[in-house]
Amino acid sequence: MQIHVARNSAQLGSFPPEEIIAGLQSGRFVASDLGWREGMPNWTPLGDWPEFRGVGVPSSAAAFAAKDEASPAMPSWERGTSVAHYVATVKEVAFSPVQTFGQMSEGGYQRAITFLYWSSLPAWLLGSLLYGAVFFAMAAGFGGMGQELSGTPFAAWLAGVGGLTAAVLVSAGLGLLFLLLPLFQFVGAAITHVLLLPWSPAGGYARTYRASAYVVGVFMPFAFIPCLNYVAAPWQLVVNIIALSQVHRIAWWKVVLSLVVIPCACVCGIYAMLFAALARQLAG
Amino acid sequence: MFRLVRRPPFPGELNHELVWPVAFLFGAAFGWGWFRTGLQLPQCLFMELTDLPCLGCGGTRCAQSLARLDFGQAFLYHPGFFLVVALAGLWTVHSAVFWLRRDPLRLRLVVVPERGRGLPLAFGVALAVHWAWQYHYLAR
Repeated sequence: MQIHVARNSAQLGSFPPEEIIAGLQSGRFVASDLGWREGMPNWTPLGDWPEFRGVGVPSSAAAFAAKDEASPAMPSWERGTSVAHYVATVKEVAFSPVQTFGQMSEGGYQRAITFLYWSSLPAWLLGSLLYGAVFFAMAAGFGGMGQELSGTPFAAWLAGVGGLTAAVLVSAGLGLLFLLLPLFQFVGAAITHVLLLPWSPAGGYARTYRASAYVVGVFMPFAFIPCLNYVAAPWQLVVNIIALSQVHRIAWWKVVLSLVVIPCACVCGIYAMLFAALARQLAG
Repeated sequence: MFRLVRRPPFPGELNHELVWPVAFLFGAAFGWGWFRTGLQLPQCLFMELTDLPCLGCGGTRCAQSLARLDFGQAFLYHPGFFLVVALAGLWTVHSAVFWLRRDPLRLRLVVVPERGRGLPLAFGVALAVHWAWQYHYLAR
């Protein structure tokens, strides 16, 4: 019967007992990894399973102690949440993604979510104000903005509430959406993980989420800085590819195929919309 | 290739019974609100350049049909998107039952390792079949 194995917040998969014994001996699994098979009421550390005690595996308590003394958790935010840890994390993710994500520790969602929140907050505030200003300009008709929307219920709503109210509502609405940022990240990471599934990723969904959250957290502030955003966007893409390639032990070109080629084919309508909006702005 | 398992949650596991229903309901509310504004997406660039539908073509029309509860037409416009929404809806219903029953076991999809090798091929074939259908139905 297959045994399901989990490490911290990630499920590693289901394996036959012989593979787990071999894995415990080779270091692929550790005694503190949790195991479960059908009929058991709860997950139990592999070191406490009677059938794995005779294969030279230390007890789960010793394994926990050994794990703590092993190489430090990466990125730095996993070890602490001070400003110094934040700055170190930005440097590690942006400039040493191979090393950082190659050694990324297993862990829960909490640290990655807090990093994403704190790192995105200034950019999100700026973005909310910017979009509020755009709606104000559309209502006032500056530079012919919003003309293509005339006759739609949206244009009627904009004219009804007035530019200032619309700007405040949009800014407040975007501010509220900020609270849902981890949810968007959950959805984005799920799509990414599904696209990676054909390549048999080494880790579960949690790894995809954590890697993506750190990359997005580091690069989101740059997205709102004029000129720098053009550099940051391709840089983010490259770092994201490296991160996913490292945490899942997948060749980089396979990640490119899943992350760039297929989504480009799927959402080129969205790209077209962005290009069309940009072209209209430039022409206006 | 896949197997459904009912098992207890492990410490720190993502609460799939909470996150995905919230995402689904939020997405459905956003989609419904978007269509109410009357705003439209522009023509697909890929379609304009090649006269072929891209993999996402028909997705918006599928969502609009779903908002009108016209499920048959939604399936014809974009079977993939329809399937995703249908599965998300089913999961939301399952999650509601799960919370009401306070079930200690969680339903999870597990990849059977020995049969998982066929996944890349199955994925590629599914994309090709989907694209062929889109070409047949949308480029009429």
